[in-house]
Formats: sequence, C-alpha cells, structure tokens
Amino acid sequence: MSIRSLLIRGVTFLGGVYFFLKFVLPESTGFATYHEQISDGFVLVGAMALALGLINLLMVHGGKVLYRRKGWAPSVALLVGLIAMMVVTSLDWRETRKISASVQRITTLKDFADRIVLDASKGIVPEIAGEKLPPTVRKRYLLDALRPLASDLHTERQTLLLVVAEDSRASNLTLQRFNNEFSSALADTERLLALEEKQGEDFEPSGLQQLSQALSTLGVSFRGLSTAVYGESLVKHLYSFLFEGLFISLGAAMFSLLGFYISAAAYRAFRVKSVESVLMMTAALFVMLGQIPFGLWISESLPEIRLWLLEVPSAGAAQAIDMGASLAGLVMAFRMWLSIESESFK
Amino acid sequence: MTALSTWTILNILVGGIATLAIFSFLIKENSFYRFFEHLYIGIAAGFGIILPIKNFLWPKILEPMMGMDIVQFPDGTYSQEYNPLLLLYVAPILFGLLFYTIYSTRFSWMAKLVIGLLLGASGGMAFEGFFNYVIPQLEGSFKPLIVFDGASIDLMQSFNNALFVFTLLSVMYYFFFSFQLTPGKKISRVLVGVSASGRWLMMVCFGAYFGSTVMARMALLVERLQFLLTDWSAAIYAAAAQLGAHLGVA
Amino acid sequence: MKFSLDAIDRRFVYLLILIALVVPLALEVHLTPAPMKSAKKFFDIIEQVKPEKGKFVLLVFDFGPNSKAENFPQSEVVVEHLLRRRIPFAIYSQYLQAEPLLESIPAGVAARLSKEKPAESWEYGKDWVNLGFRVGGALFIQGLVRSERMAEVLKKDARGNDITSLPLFDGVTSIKSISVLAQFSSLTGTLETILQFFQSSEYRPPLLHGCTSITIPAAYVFMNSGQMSGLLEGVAGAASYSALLYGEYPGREPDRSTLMMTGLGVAHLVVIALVLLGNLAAWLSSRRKV
Repeated sequence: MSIRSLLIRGVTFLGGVYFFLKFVLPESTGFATYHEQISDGFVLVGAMALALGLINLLMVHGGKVLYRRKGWAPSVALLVGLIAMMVVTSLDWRETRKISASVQRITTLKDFADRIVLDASKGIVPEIAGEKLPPTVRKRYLLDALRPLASDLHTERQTLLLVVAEDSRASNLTLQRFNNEFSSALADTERLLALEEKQGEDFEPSGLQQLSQALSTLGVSFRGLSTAVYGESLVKHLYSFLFEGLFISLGAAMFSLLGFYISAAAYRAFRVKSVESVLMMTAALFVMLGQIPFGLWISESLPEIRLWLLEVPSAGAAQAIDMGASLAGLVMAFRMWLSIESESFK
Repeated sequence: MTALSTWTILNILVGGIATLAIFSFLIKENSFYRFFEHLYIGIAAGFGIILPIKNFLWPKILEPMMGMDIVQFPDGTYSQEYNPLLLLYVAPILFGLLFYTIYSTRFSWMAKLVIGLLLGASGGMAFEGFFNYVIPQLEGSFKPLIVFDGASIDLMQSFNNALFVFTLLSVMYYFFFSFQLTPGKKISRVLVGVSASGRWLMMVCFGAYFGSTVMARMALLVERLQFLLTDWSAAIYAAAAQLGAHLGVA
Repeated sequence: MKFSLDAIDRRFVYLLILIALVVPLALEVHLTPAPMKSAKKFFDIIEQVKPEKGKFVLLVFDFGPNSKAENFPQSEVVVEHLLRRRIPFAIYSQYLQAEPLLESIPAGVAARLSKEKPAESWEYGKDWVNLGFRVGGALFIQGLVRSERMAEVLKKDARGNDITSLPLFDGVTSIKSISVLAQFSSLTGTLETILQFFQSSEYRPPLLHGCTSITIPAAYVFMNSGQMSGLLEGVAGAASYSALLYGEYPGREPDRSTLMMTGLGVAHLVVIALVLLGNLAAWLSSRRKV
C-alpha cells in the first residue's frame, strides 16, 4: 500500500471518528463541546466545491459556444440563465446587505444600551485612552449618537417612500403597515430619548432598558419598511421573474411531463399476467379509488380499505424493505469509513 | 378579480410560454423545448452557487473571521472581542481547495483526500442516524398478536397486528439468502411458502406505491393545466387590457 | 391508416389525457375530497397547540418547484391554520430551492388573511419568522438540538434581524421550546435527516409531515412506529385539510385544492381505463395470434 493510499484512508477515518465518538460517548464527557465549530468546519470543506460545478458548466457549454460545436445554441440559453441568475442573486444580496448596514446603525445603539446596563450591573467601568467610562458618561455618548440618527431616520423614511411609485405605495398593504409601525416606533424612541435627556447625568438602568427595547422594535420595523420598499425595486422584480416566472414554471412543467408518461406506461406496459401482477393491480386499484372523490360514489368504504392497505400489509412490507436497506446502508457506511472497499484509493 | 401588476402579468405570461415549451417535447424533441430546458439548468445552477455563499460562507465564516461582525460603540468600546480561534477556519478552507487539484493530472490524487474526509464524516454520522431511525421502527413492530378490548378479543385489530408482523417477517425472509434450503424437506417447503407470501405481500406494497405514484404524477400535471387555464388566460386577458389602455383603445 | 387497439400512438394517449383533464378544470367542477384520517390527525394536533410564550411551531419547507402541486398547497393550508389560531411559527429549509418560498408563502397567506379580515393584522417577527436556508443539513440540526439556547445557534433570521430582537423568540430556550415540528418535503432525502437527528436525549418534538404522494406508503411506516404523528398525503391531504379548515372557518376564501381533486379524480379514472384497455388489447392480440 502506497503512502498516498495510506494518507487517503487515514483522512477518511479521521473524518468519521469525531461523529462516531460523539455518538458513543456520553454527553457528560464534554467531548462535543465545540460541535458547532467542528460541524461548520466540515460544511466549509464541502462548500469549497461550489465552483466545481460552475467550472464544469463553463468548460462544457462555454466550449460549445466558443467553438460552435453541434448543439451550441441551447448552451447560450444555459449560460445566459446562469449568468443572469448569478448577477441578479448577487445584486439581491448586495441590496439586502445595504439594508442590513442601514439597520445596523440602530441595532448598534441598541446593543450599546444593553452593554451599558450589563456593565453597570457587573460594576465594570471600561477605559479608553486613559479616560474612564462610567455609565453616566456612556449614556451621554449613547444619547449624542441617537439624537442625529433619529432625525436622519425621519428624512430617510420620506426618501424611501418616494422611491416607490405612488400607485404601488397605495396598493402595497405591507409597505403601509411597516410605514405605520416605523412611524410609531420612531415616535416611541424619540419620546424615550427626550425622557433620558431630561434625566441629565442620572443613570437609571430601567430607562436604558426601555430605550433598548424601543430601538429593537425600531430596527425591526425599519428593516421591514426598507425590505418592503426594496420589494418594489427592479432587482427584486427581476429576481421574481427569474425564480417565479421561469424557474418554478419550468421545474413544475418538467415534472408534469411524468403525468403523460405514466398514462402511456399504464396503457403499454402494465400487463396483468400473473398472480403477483393481479395482486399489485388490485392493491393499486383500491388505493387509487380510495383517494379520489369518485371513489366515494362507488363505495363509502373505499377510503377505509385504502387506509387499511396502507397501514397493514403495505406498511409491513415497506418497513421490511426500509429496515433491510437501512442495515445495508449502515454496513456500507462502515465500509466506507474504514475504506474497506476503496479500490480507487489504491 | 384583483388587478394584476405588470410584473406579475409578465411572470405568468413567461411561465405559461415556458410550460408550453416543455410540453412541446411530447410531440417531438425540438429546439424550443431545448432552449427552455437549458435555461432551466442555467438558472438552477446560478441560484445554487450564490445562495450557499450568502447564507453560510459569508455570515458564518468569512465575516466573523475578518472581524467584520464586530462593531464599535459611540464611546470607542467594541461589541465583542475578536476570537483568534476563528482563524482556524483557514484550515478547512485550504483543505477544501484541494478539490480543484482534480483538474491537474499530477496532483488529482489530492482531491481524494477531501472526498475521503467527507465520505468518512457521512459514514461516522450514519451510526447515530441508523439507531435513531431504525430502533423506533423495531419497537413499533413488536405488536401484540392478541388485542383485548375490555374482556373480549378485538378480532380486527388482532388480525391486523398478526398480518403486519407476518408481512414484516415474510418480506424480510424473502431477501434472506444466507442459508440454502434443502429440497424435499418439510421445513424447506414451509420456508418457500413464507418466501412466496412475502413476495405476494410485497406486490400489495408495490401496488400501493403505484397508486400513490399515479396521484403524485397526475397532481403535477393537473396543477400545470390549472395554471394554464386559470392564471395564464387571466394574464393574457390582463395584458391585452393593459395594452389596450396604453394604446388608448376603449 | 389501420387502427389497432394494441398499437395506439402514445401521442393519442397524451391527447386523451389532456382532454380528460382540461374539461373538468375548464368547467370548474368542485367535488368534496375523500376524507383522510391522517390529515384529521394533523389538523387535530395543530388545533391542540396553545399559543404560549417561549414556545413555537417549527416548519421545515424542504421542497422545490418539482413538487409544487403537492407541497405548496400543503404548506399554505397549515400556515393558514397557524396564522388563524395565532400560533407563532418559524420556518427554515435544508433544501436550497425552497429559500425564496420561505418568504413568499407565509407572506402570501398573511396578505390573503388580512384582506379577509381587515380589522386584524399578522406581523412578521411576532406571528412568524423566516430563518432562511440553513446549510449543513444534519450537522445544523445536531447543533440546534444540542444547544441550551437556540438563539445562539440561529443568530439571525433570513432578513438579517438578530433573533433575540424578535418577539417570537422571547423566552425560547432549547428544542423543548418547539411544541410541534412539521416538515414538508418531496424526494429530497431530508425527511430521513429529520427522523434521524431532530431529537435530543430528553426530548423529541411531535413530527408532522406533508409528503408527495409517491412517499405515502413509506410515510405510513413512520406513522406505524410512532415516529410521525400526523401526515398530509399529497394534494389529497391538502384538500382534506382545506375541507377541515372550511368547517372551522366558513367565511374562508375557496382555494384550488378541491378543483384539483376533481381533475385528479378524472385522471385516475383515465389511467385505470388505460390499464384495462392495454390489457384488453394485449389479450385480443394474443387470441388473434392463436
């Protein structure tokens, strides 16, 4: 056995040993303390293969188009669909990140308020560049940052609404609702801001907690409003066009062809010639008639017969096949883990 | 009927044309069908490449690794301290990049390292999955063969349980090839009968599968036809009305 | 052209099935769907869930356009039921193609309910949350069930909101906060992942499942073993559930599932007729040869 083969087998074994030990060792051992990070690591390894499919598609279909090989025209459609979807999905992501960045100004202040309260409860006084930051000073920083933000949000709300066409603004109930929620949350925040400013240098944790809650609601409603406005944008419409207009319709249509094929197969292939096929057809007949409204016209008992067939003989047979297949799957998984049958690794 | 927006009309119109293009395959394979088929594959691929980056790679790995999820508060303090252990994610990233050695004749064996790791991981996870999956089924198959309803025997339920257990065992036995049966022996005749029963009961199961499959396949077809007859025709009408209004036709 | 019963061109068969389906759909004949006990069980379990702080229903949408006809109506009727009963729910998916549907389906149902009941409103973050597509499948589920605080694993929703800022997640701790788990899937292999991993040593949420019709016989194995508590059997299950919703909420806007069941019923009869015709043709052909 070569070193390469040993290395591959070793890595394969290491890949599975963590999950095997996690299963067999009790939780009290703390073996799986970093399970989330380790799992993310494994998913990350798999995610690195993302571009493989893309490269393959570009090589095969790109090559067809470039060198005008036979059947190059549909490859253009594939590449256009691929690039269009990638561009639109990326633009969609960019726009949602812009919304997130915009909302983050609010959530940062919310987190800051929470931190002030938490540090005050623990008696922690941070220090920056030699300056001690007691809660009263930090509160001042918070209020000084919140005041202009609240003012900016008023303007931004108007700007957002102007982006949307008037008829869309009137008909989009979600937009209207988020607009109202945002106005209400902003008014609430400003009221609490004014209260805190009135308190001056006094620090009251409950006041900041209320302000944090208000900022949380403000953040959610601002995000909702921005998302509702974004929903009327060209990027979102293009995304909807590609996904709902094309992808869903094409996928559903592709699979709906099977309805025609099963009809043709029923006519050409389903021959009742033996005891087994009689049993199969009889069971199929009861199941089919028991699941349609017309079955009730024939007999009220058909749904019950169908249910009996599914619960008793069919479930028994399906369970036997399922358990056998699961056992075989486990054996295969074991063999894979221990590289017992890996001719290609030699 | 609520008024449809222009984009909704466009989505439905294109969806209908795409559906008819796919249906044209039933007559004969043609370039109209092939165009939309390839378009579908392209869109699916494009979708599948960006989403894992958007939903996993960026927010869970790259953003925390680069410290971009740490914000500075107005007083100069930070929301959290940077965790240098996050840099350990560089290891699986570099290891995962070995996938691309598959394009090199000399180094393609390195891709087997990554594939092996993932196969090993799925193999290791299979143990927990198997026991959680099969043990409840095994428990559920120990049904009482005689069921009492108060003082009397519930014949129907007892029969059902007995039939279920017999089906389970006979179908499992049908696939059991470890021991060869000696022809002529009474026990062999009994076991052959059990095996045959297993086969027949499996046919009942396959019949149930066939009946269910018919509903599944037909449901897909009925949905598409419903779309064409209801939504698409309404969209054509709405498009004609909008076009007419646009052109000033009464 | 000589017509032979045992050699009908497949395109005539396609045309026959097309005409047989178009006629009832065009005439908009609605028939009462056949009752389904499994759908009733599903319905009753949702009916028994009480809105409680710190508890929610988790929906998993693991389907794409390939099972639009069956999983879409199933998820819509269940989402409608949850919204009507004000039971908060969160949705996520292990299946990439379902990602946009996690947003559009509940939003669409909520909008429809808002039109039906203008005095009421359903709010994102309070009535439902979209957790988005989560990469990792079984690995993600394992992380979720192990944690004492799910919010630490979930972190943000699909819109980018911090999970802890959403009212629905107020008081939510571990998976014991999940009162019911309902998964809708086609042949994606994701049901097995849920069955195998969505449980801790102390708790397994009751599992409800909406399947495509192909996997109905397999789903009954899990109903039998108690791994599943309720089942929606394809579009027939959705139609049955819809009929149950009508019983509870008579002012409800009619949906398409009953019309679809009429079309399906005709389709089934045509398939049965085709099987009989094919066998008759084969028998006649064999007699001629003899």
